[in-house]
Amino acid sequence: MSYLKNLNKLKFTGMVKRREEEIKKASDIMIPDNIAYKANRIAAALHPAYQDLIIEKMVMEDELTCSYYLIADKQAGCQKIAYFQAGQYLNVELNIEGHHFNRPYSISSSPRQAKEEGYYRLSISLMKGFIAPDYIWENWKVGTRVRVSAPLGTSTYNRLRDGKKILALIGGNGVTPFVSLAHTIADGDIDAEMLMLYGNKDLKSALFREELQQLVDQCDKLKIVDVLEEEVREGCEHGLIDADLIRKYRCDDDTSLFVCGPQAMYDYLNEQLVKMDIPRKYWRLEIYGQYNEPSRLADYPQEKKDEVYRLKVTQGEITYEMACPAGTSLMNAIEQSGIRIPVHCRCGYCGFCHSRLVSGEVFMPEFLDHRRQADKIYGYIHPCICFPLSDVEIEIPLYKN
Amino acid sequence: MHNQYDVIVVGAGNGGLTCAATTAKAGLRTLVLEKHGLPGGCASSFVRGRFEFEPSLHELCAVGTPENPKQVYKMFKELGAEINWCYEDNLFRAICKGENGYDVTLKAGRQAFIESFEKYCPGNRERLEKLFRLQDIDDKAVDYVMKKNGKPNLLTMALKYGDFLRMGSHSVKEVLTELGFDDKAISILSTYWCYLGVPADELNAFHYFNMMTGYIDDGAAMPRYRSHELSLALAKVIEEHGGKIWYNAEVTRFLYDESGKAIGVQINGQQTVYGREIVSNLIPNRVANLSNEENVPQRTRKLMNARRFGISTLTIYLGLNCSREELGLNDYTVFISKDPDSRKQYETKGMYIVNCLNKVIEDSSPPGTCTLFFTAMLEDGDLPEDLDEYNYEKYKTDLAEKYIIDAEKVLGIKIRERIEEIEAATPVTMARYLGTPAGTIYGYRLSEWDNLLARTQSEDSDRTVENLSYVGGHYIHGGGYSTAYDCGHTAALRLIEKYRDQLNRPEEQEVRS
Repeated sequence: MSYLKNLNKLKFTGMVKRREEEIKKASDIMIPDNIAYKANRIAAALHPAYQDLIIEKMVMEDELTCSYYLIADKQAGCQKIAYFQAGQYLNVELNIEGHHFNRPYSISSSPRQAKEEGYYRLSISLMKGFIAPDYIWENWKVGTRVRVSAPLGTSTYNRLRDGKKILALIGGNGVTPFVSLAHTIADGDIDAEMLMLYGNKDLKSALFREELQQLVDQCDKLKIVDVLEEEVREGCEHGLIDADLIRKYRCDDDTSLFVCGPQAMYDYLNEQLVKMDIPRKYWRLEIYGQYNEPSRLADYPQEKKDEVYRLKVTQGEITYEMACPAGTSLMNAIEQSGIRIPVHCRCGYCGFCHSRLVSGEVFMPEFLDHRRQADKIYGYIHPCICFPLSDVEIEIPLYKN
Repeated sequence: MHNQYDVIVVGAGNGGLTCAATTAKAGLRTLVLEKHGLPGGCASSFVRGRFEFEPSLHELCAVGTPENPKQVYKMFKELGAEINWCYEDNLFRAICKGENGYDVTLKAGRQAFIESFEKYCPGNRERLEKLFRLQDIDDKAVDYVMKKNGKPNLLTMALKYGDFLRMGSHSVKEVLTELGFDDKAISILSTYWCYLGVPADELNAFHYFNMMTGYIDDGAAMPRYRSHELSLALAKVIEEHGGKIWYNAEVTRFLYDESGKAIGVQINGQQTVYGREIVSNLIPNRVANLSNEENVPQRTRKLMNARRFGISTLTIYLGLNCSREELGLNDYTVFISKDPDSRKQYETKGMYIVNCLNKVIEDSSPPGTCTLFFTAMLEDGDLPEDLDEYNYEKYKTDLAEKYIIDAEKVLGIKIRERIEEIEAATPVTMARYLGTPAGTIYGYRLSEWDNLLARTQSEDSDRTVENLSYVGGHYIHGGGYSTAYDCGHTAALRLIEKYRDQLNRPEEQEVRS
């Protein structure tokens, strides 16, 4: 009995032969590489494994900030720089006294400048006690070769998600991604209005103030209001960027808050924005950079803060052991002992340093913990935001040279 | 040359992980090399703001329940991987727009399925019962073939399992037409075709109905904590049994000896490791690109050149700042098409799927929020001529908007004003993360001539390099989680069998412990 008697069952016996015929007919030339396909070509152009760049020009923005213009280092095989979105950063490789470090820096130039003029601008301020800017200031000159990552980060404008209006809350040096964004709006590449509340000690310490003013003057979608902590000046707000100011300048409900500034500003805003009942959809708070003082946090076990622990790190076939003070992130301890480990954002978000906690206990600031839920169950961590609370053993990813 | 490992698995996708978990558990020295920082390949997750998104899984079939476990459930359980399974009773809702359109919601379970189907297409009860009986015949035929180790008596096959041979060599459309279903019923019954990437007039009927009845019989299951949970559970099994997983370890070269046997791989352009067996979760095209030309046999080249790639997709991930109830969506899976004919759906890319995970796992996003996951077919060849890295972001956003607006209209819900997080992925994204040519997610197209059963019967002749085997979506089944798991497991069992004698040697055991 058959339910399908009009279908020929003998067709089955010919299937393999039929397949063999198709194979026989085909060419035996070598298989084309991925680059033969458009999707792969665009992916490769947007997300190179790394970029070899060379410093073409340096411009002092003020006494403490230098802008470095980086172009493709063709001699090193980099034909052109990868395009990016305003708000993204580059992770810069540094080799300080034989130790390799990575540091993320927001791009302060515009995507259009990358496309048409072939450069990224990184603007780096000298800060007391920070190794990386200090090293960059000492060592980066015109002609210095620098290896950086592809453009990274998700603090970008998306017209389907974000409001038609942007209220930028800017704390001091956090201005760099907004310079890029302001250029992009002025270039007409993003269709949004942006009002920048730019917080500084006084007007003269406002970085990129002239460049921003020029953009504001030429583009009616851009506005800027200075918020000065230590100076009273006509036409400027006095004090800190606070809830009252946000209320005053966020006139339209369809306005997204984009925030970049020091840690204290995030702490304050995270608390205030909830109280102000501004939907989460309209906050875009992200920090790029390292969290350094876990003992400042209320839930940190204070009795541990001066301890020094043993850290055992396995990478592929090799196991290393080192000391890690309680106030040092596992990432920093690993890098300082000369081990190279993949890392991008350094603030727990990107997950590039995803590692397995084999044993021991670590502290991580809760607001930086962006791990996946299953990571928590299976004991995976992002070492860039973890501080040891006991001797610790972890397995880290390999490093691609 | 020193064999440091018995098995080197290249790529920690679904096939690679189950293969490695199985070999490690059996005592074979196993090393997994994964180019990303996470295991899983497609089976992963990503975080945006306060949302953790499922990147690829729609519904896992062949899971079953603790009371009635099916092959995936059993496999995870036997391996010792604990998964928090969550279940969905509704099969799907399918909305077809236009004149001959429909809006149907079908239920899982054979009887429930028939009842719900009768509501929309009355008079098909007997035909559906026949369809299920055909599935039972197929199951028995497969059992028989397995029992005969893949070498069945052809006369027995022809006499006892004639309808299996018919199903196995005809298309979904041919079989449904032969059973007497009308166009509307055929359209509804073909809805799942997009899970296999080939329209119903070309798709192998045995393959399709095997999958479909799997969903109908057992419903669909999802892991509680996105697919990342599945992958970490398998990674744990591997590590617990002494296997190693190296992350950020990209294989940059496949190595062969003078006779052409696979012997090892180079990692990150730096170090090399050697193993008795190399198992590739990478698509054969990539392996060819990473091998010397003389190590890619002529048959392999011809096969790869004869094949077309399977589909790729546009996927849109939305985190909404309202609950599922506020949104007003009562379905987990909605298929939306603008033409009832699957060939037209395929050619015009006129079919997409909307999933709301909160229907299955209520707290899969924070209280007062929900997520939507859109999937539409999109292939490398569909990318606009003038698309480049500069206009790509705009292209992607515009395309996402088009689908979102359409879904708002079709489902009568408001999405745009509620978007708190959004990501869109295209073949470019798949090319980036999976590293596959043209961003294919299902490996090779399950063409009429290159269908599941033709591939199964050609397995030995397709295997051209000694000590090199393949697992993953690109292998015989051409995509899907459960089959990728299954083929990894099967490949592992073959290797365990091959090295059985050595596994039992006490001195070897000692060295290992």
